[in-house]
Amino acid sequence: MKKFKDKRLAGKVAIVTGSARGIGEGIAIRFAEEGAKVVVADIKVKEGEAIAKRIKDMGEEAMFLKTDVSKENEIKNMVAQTIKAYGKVDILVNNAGVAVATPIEDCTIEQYDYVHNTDLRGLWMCIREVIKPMKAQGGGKIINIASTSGVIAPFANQTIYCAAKGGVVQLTRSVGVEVCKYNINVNCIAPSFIDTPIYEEINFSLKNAENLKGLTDIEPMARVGTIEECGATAFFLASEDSDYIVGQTIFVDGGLISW
Amino acid sequence: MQKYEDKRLAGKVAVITGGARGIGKGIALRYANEGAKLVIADLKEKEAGDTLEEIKKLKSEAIFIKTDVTSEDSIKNMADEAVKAFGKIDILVNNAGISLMRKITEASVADWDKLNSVNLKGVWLCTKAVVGNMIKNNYGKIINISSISGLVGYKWESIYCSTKGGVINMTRELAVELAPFNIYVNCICPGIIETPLYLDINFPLDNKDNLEYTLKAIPMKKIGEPDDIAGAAFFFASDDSSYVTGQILAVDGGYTSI
Repeated sequence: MKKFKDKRLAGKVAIVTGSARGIGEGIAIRFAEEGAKVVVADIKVKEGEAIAKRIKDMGEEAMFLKTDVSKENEIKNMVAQTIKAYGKVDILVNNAGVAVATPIEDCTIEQYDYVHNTDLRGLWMCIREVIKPMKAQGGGKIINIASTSGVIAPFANQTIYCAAKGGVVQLTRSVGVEVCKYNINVNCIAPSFIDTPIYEEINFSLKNAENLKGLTDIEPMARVGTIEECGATAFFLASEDSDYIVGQTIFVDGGLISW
Repeated sequence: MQKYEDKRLAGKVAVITGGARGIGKGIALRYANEGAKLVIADLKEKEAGDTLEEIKKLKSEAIFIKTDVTSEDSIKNMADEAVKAFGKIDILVNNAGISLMRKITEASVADWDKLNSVNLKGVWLCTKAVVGNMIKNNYGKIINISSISGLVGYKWESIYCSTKGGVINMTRELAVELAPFNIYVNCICPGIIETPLYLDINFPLDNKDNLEYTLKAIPMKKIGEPDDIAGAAFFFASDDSSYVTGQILAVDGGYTSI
């Protein structure tokens, strides 16, 4: 854990969706280290409550809100509860996401809806819900988590996921332009291969040397990234250092898309 | 300026070309505020002196090395002097640049050569001169300052757009080539930023017509400040960007998103 003398998000209230673990966890912890109050929004109750507790143990404020971002009423509740508890919402990180890997001819409509309802439709609904309070309070920061798979397609069987993440990159531009005049900065982070539990779930464990090599061989930096590195970039986009940045996608990718 | 207690670039040595004024000066002051030691590499002695005074007030160390980024000898001397003074170079900001608004029918080959020698060849030469020290130290952060004119067409800037587009793809190549040495290469594309450059090209932003014409193209409806670029340059210089290389980041109030 980093101990900062000046906390550069002091007084800010941040919602991080999907922050019970993985990249969202890295972002939530970094925001807390910088003094933000963090709302851990996730469907995973046990892990989400553990992250909120970890933040409180650090001496910062946090709360867990069980939230399924594919459901409009749960998103409304998430934003309302945040404002009730902390009075405002300065930062929204749209990190919650799911993936499938299936050849296109075998994909079902259910799979398509499952991924898009969370990764793209859910993200859009979360943005829609915070714009009003952010406008009323005179500004805000929205950070969407896409993926390098939003602009390149290094692996087969990812049509649904790539389409959703490509949508996030372009949605970032569109809403970024629309709301920047209210001092709301909307930007995007596109991670490549980050060491998270998601690889276990899609049966591609990074503990398997061959799997790991398959990823590191195609990245100029020849390693996978960490959740802390995603948290660091999210912090930059959440801080006043990004006040003139609109609609951008920062690739936290060890150089993957550069070659 | 906010004074930081955390010095998040403490112990780092940064060379900033064109650091005497404008965006380069904004970056220099931010780095100083974060505890870095600075080398201001510029042609402009008087303005560099003023910048050094301001850095001193932030209680950081800095030296000026008179540098012409079109001259390989001058650049080599700058790199040698920087290492002699501070022992190493951790961060290089390739910021020195010149601009020109001239229709292609009126622009000369001399115009082409002048802009390219500073904006593109100069970036390549400065990187070449500094990277040996970085490879030796197995650490480096290189930040190239391109422009929105490297991403989209800006009328009457055929030469400038060419040079800045070149900087963008040089960034990607260097990121790939230097990754094995733990050297990061990233690029910032500033939008319309309030700097003396607009006086140089006879397009003052305090002129009502110029300002109106410019603001029409900026979704945020405001001109940026050197501080806005300094924030991004700090991110790329700090440990927070430890998995980011080859990135082209527009800091432009949305200019290139429409």
